[in-house]
Amino acid sequence: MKVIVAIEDELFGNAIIDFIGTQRWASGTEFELVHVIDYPPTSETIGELCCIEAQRMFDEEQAAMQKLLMDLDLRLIKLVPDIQSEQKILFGFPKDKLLHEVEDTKADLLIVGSHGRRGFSRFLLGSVSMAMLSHAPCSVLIVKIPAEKRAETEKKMAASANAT
Amino acid sequence: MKVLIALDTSLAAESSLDFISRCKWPADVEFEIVSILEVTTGPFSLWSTEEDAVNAHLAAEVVDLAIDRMANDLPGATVYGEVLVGGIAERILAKADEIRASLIVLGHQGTSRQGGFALGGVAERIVQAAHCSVLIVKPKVVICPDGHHLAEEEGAAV
Repeated sequence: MKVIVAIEDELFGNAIIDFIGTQRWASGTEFELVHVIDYPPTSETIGELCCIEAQRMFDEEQAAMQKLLMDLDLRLIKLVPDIQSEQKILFGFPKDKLLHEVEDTKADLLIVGSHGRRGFSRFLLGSVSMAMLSHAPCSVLIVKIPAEKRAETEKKMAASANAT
Repeated sequence: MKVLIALDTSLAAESSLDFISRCKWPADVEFEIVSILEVTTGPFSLWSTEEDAVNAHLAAEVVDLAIDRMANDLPGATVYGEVLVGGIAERILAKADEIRASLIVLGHQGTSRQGGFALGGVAERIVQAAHCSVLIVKPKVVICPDGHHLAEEEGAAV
């Protein structure tokens, strides 16, 4: 069985790995942790970017994501022994790239976090998750963060918003 | 761990069960299989009693068959079954909260939307409103040269 895990950020990445850890998986199950870097940046982010700054942020994001995928991969292997896993960073429009990845690898299952990353969609179902739900050719598991953990994070976010 | 499996009378229900049988589950897993009997409200319900009886029979049969199948495929698992009456999404969400499910499993019909939980309707509402994770099971799809989608038996080895 081949499983693609779409990692958006640390919060949902960890929630997804936790969920995978509560399940049992057949030995030899292949996991692929994928993060798609939005490149070229969409209109939402382009305003704050100019050439040199853009390149710097891009490099930073790439490095941060590589580290995140590595950390999550280590946790995954610790939680679920006897599986194979690899990490992949893709560049492009997240929805397209993820769909292509699922099609190319003929994955049996796609795991995504339930919430978006930007603005208000953080609290609703993310547009990427929704697109995957309707268009992915394979089964889709949408992982939600348990309520108590979410309340904690929202509190943290509110605190940081007050501080700025 | 509690898993709520929502079945309808379509082929998608079959592929949900296939998928569940192919997965490995924790030893303490409990499955709750539900089928929803959608009853029309308002004055029209007065005339549709015969159809309701047929649907009620179908819904009960789906649950019975599924319980038999789970007992066969996953010996040792605890399986409960129930037919719920009311709005599909509402009843599934209420049941998931009631049993504190950690996962809801829904079948997805694919391109044909008759008799199944059409995405954009029930499945979308459940995914949006559920407090737990949701697994949408889709039958494997092959695209024929003439552009039609054919559901293919899920044959991948686990």
